[in-house]
Amino acid sequence: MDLGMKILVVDDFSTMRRIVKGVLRTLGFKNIIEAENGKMALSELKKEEVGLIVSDWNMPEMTGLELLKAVRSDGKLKGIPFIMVTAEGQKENIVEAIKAGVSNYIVKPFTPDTLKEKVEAVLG
Amino acid sequence: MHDPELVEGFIADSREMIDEVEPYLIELQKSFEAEGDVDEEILNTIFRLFHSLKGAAGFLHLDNVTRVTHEAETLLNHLREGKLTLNDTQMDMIFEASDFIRKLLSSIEEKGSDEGFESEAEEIVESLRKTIAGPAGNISADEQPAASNDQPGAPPDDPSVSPVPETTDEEPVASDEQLLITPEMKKQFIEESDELLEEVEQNLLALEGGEGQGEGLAGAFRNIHSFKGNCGFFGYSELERLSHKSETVLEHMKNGAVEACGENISVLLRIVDMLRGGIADVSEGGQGRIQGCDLLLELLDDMIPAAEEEQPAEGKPIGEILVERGDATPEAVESALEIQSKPLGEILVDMGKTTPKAVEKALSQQEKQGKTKKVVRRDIRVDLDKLNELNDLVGELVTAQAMVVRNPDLKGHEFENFEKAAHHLEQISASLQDVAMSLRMIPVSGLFRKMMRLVHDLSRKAGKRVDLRMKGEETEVDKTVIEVISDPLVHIIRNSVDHGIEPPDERERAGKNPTGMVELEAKHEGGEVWITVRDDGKGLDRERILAKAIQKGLIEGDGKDMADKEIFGLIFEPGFSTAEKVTDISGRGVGMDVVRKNIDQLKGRVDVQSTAGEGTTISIRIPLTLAIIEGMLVRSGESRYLIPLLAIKESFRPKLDHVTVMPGGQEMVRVREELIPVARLSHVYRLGNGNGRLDEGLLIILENQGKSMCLFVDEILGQMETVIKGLPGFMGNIQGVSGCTILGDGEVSLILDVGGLMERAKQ
Amino acid sequence: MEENKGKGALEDDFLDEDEEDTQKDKFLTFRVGHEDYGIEIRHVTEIIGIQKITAVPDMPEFVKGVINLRGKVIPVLDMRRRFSLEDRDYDERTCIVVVNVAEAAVGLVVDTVNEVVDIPEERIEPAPEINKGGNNLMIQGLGKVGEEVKILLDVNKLLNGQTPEPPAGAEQAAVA
Repeated sequence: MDLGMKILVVDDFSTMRRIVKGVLRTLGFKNIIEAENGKMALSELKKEEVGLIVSDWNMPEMTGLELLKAVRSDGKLKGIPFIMVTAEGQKENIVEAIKAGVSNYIVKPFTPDTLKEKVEAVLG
Repeated sequence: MHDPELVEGFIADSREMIDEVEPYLIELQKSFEAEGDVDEEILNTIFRLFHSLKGAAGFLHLDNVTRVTHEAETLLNHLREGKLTLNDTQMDMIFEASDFIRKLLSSIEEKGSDEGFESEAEEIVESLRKTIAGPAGNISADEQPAASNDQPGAPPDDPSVSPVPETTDEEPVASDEQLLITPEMKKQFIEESDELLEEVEQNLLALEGGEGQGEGLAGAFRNIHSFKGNCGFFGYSELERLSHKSETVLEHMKNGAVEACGENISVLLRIVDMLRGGIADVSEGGQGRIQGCDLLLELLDDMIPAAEEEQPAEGKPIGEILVERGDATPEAVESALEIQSKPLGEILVDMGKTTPKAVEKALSQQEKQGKTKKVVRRDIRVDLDKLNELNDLVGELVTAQAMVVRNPDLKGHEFENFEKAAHHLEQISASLQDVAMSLRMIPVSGLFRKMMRLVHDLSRKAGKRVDLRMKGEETEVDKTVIEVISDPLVHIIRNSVDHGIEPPDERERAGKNPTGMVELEAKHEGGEVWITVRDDGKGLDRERILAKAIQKGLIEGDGKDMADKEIFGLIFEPGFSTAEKVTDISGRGVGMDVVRKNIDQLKGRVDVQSTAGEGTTISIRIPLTLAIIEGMLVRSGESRYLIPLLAIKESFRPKLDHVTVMPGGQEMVRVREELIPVARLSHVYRLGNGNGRLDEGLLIILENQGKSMCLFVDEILGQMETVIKGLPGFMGNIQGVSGCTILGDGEVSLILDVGGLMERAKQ
Repeated sequence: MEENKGKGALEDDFLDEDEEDTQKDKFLTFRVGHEDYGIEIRHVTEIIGIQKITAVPDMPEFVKGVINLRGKVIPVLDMRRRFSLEDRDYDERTCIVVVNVAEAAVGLVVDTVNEVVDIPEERIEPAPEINKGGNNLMIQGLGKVGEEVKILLDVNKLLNGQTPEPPAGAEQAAVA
């Protein structure tokens, strides 16, 4: 795993972004950028070289699923590992995400260890 | 180390959680005493709450909280598993634990950590452990609670689950088998598969529709089982693995290890879609590939709990319940299940293997269990500032709308269409206002429930038996009111339990039920919220209160002429009660004067009624909305003022011979039997001129906290409902003025605060 | 989130980032009694005609009361009283200059409003040291416009409690 790689964290709640960022940091990743919603995430992805996307499902303007679909259908971006964050009680969405090509998923609330496992599974 | 916002959220959530837990604990105890039986759903709910708290605390590295919650959770788990029998000591321990957690929460609030409480935590952990090890002795106190599945994302080690999924690099099926499969067979396979999947879908939908353990679940299981078999035969391994895993999930649903809830059923329905996709792939010549098969398998795995986990009590199969209750044998259930085409219970009755009554009872237990599913609250957290801003804007909208509709330019004209439109606008504004106001409203139930713990503790400490009843919990009140009224309510209830309710033997001697009653009621009445605390204790002693008041110099004279109401009201005067010990129950405030102070802050009133030997009723009345006021608009000189309608008793034109002028210049007027002082706004505010003759104007009798005053005005202009606005910040608090409002013609009018006005007039 | 968008549209113009710099040297001038005063235009949100002012008790003399400004209740200072001049009847030239003080709007009653003038820094003298503390707390400086002198006021100090002596600063500055 390349700890210097850029990771994009997408969520409309700053608290959630902070948590994910924090966990990623404890895993050793230093290069983390954030986006508030799918649209902004896409513009970030066009500008920077991102090695992993961790995105929430529920977001205004462009949902996580829409972002995933957009990423997977873009020539340049389609190979980027994508972890979808969903909430307890919305597991059926995961199936949707899997259909759309998500690399892995994680359910809130999660422990740092779980996120670590998922990240390793997806990158390793 | 942790984000303050996160910690804040955690503290708020945890407090909420502990508030929720306490009434449940009390209920648990009560029902155990009444029925000798532990109420399973309540126990589970309590367990889950502690479990969540533990999880969150762990996330934030709050060690002391985690340790204590962990032990409490263990204790609760043992109770759940029946390894321990409920007793008072345990309940006390858990209460102690939750008090301790509250303490820790405060410390976290102040210092950001729960450090420094290690030894105390250790003590509580020890006592909890002792209680756990307790009479049974052979229960190891170190046993980890089985349901410690804190990692929802991690696949558990479930031996019943098939081994780690293979890689998705699919090879076509082994050549031998390929020879046996003809295009016809394949066609048939596809058709049959489509049908089976259709069936499964129907079964799952029926299950979702609430058919419990009937056709739905069994049917789905059967059909998926057949489907899996076919796929296996034809060698479509991804289809086989996915359907096998689904079958396992359904099996666990049958035995209750997996909840047959909406979410899980939705997942299964989507999996069925994915299976269909695989079959479509086959019909197009493919290998039955399923997009993201591994991840789907993982998802299904996550739904299956770890082997050791407790089975949730929700919606246990009827057969199991009947067996548990000893109303049917396991064998009978087995054979009935095999024939299953009717509800299981019915079959067993038909077979003569149980009685209809037993089935009914089991059904009602199942229903009860089903109901404890957590109701999904569709709440969102909203920044209070934003809410206030919204309310401000709505207030301004109402004002602006009034200025348009009642514009002086329109005076004398009749515009029919305009008026219709204006009326419509007025109605919409009013509705908008109601909704905006209601956003800040919260039911009092949370507040009332907190009192359950209070009464419980107080009565135990005082050695009395007190029942707390609640009425009107769903009554909604502005958020600020809830916050401000909490302390007063605590003090009033404390008063009732400590001084009002008599000890059981005394009550019996008086012919009363040895268990005393305190009733909390909330209701809306006439634009106000009424919150009453009623007890059936010994009532207030007029003479004693009078004596104390005289002793403390709170009243002049002997008070013989004072009405009961007034005397009882004295208990709220600052200085009346001696400084009571600040206990951990009420925490702050020095007694009943907090009541008066807080109620005043809310512009409300408090009344006391009492009958010796029978009880006391304390009523708190608070204006329903703090932002709208109904008032009387009056003119004094050149200025206009708005007087809150609630404070007005009556108005009249005085006769000069009813007016007496005291040596100091103070005017008094005789109203029936009373002599009421007169105040002129121009004097009180030193503004403008209102020096007309009293008989050329009007006197308005104002009442506040039992005192009366006459206000002299030149004219009464009418009654109106309007939005209260605050005066500009830098002007501060002006005695006698509670705010201002914008009138229809655009001018600003001050709103009088009657209490303050009276104070001011005295000086 | 922007919080202060409740004020007049004029404010948007005045607080426009690009324009702020060019606003710095512009002053709105008005007359109170015998003197001309000026306030930096960037603090002025609007000018309205005189309207009925609702008196509020317990306020200093120069706080005349409050008015309704498009749904907001704002305080109004009478500048004549602020400078200890005698009251005079309001007429059709009396105006209320609404300024922005510490995020809040305040109205100032003045005899007449004149024009917006450019007073570059070089033409501004500091307030005289003598008498500091009394009147001169609010005086930002003295601006020279042609032959005339305008007393430039510091908007933030207008509300300070002291009621000063009628300013005599103008003559002194002219001499200097």
